[in-house]
Amino acid sequence: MTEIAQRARLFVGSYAGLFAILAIRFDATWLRWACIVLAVLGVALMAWVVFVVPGQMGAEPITAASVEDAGSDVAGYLATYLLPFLTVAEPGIRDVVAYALFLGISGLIYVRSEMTQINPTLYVLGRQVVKLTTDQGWTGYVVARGAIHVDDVVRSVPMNEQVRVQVRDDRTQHA
Amino acid sequence: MPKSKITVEKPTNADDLTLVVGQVSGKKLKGFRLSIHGEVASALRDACVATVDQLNGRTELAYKWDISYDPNLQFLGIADALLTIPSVDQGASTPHTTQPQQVVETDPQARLILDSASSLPLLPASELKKRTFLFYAAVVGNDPNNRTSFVSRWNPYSTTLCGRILTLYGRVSAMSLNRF
Repeated sequence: MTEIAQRARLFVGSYAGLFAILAIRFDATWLRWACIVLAVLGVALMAWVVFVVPGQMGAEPITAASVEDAGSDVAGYLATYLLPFLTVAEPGIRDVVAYALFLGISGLIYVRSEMTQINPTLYVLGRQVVKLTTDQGWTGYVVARGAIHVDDVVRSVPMNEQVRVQVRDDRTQHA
Repeated sequence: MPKSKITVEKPTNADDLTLVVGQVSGKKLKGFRLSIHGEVASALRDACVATVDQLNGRTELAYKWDISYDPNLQFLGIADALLTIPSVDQGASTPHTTQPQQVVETDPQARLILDSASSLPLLPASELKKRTFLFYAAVVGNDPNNRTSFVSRWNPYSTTLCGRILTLYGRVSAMSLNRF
């Protein structure tokens, strides 16, 4: 699967909560069900990342040389969560198209920016996404089980070139 | 027979494994890591254990350029530090009063690739059939700064074919490049 497709999966998972809120807000049955399906799909995708991927793939150790915080991107991300509160309960076709366009643009920005690092669904599942550079030069995102510090050795499995998932390691140590 | 000086610890199930390939691109050697299923990692780990067993059952001979040896009973060993030093000039006419230490010239890029195994670019599985690789290696260990590399010259695509992993590793001599 391509890098963009993998990030798109993270995008759907990230907005599972937003789709759930939209499902509550909409009165139209088909819209409500569409949002419910997307919300469930998002949670399922993130559950797959958290619980299935680490058990399937072979793990490898990396040493964190730098870890970046996503603080400056959070505000921009949270702004997208205002969408459900700006919608009407029974939108017309043009409203729905406008909402879909908004989500499409948000998704495009999400997969092409540092917003990949922000994922409320993963937080709910007890994980967080950190941007990490290894001592050997790899830079990407790690779906981490907790805080990662510089010089930590992290056991992870690859999802793709840019995203890894940390696996349980009782031997985690400072190098 | 003298005991081997080289000791390679057997990989255990707790040791992580990275599958690496090296590809010649122009005058450079590029390294890639491959995403592998846990069961493939386990099978490769078993193959590494078998290779270590084979090495431990043989006698080490110090490498010399003109040495002859029995590959069924012996293997050639050389200290880690001597692998990246340029080779001595075999045609030098100056007589040596003492025997110079034999060194082996190796490509330092290969060492860098193996040292940074888990940080290499990820190569999609679909690319394996399209490219030709100079070597592949199973890099084993949990400490990124102290891992053992089992190197062979085969296209790793063949290792993923059912029933060939152990045969391939059983035939080749693994060379551990780290921390002898």
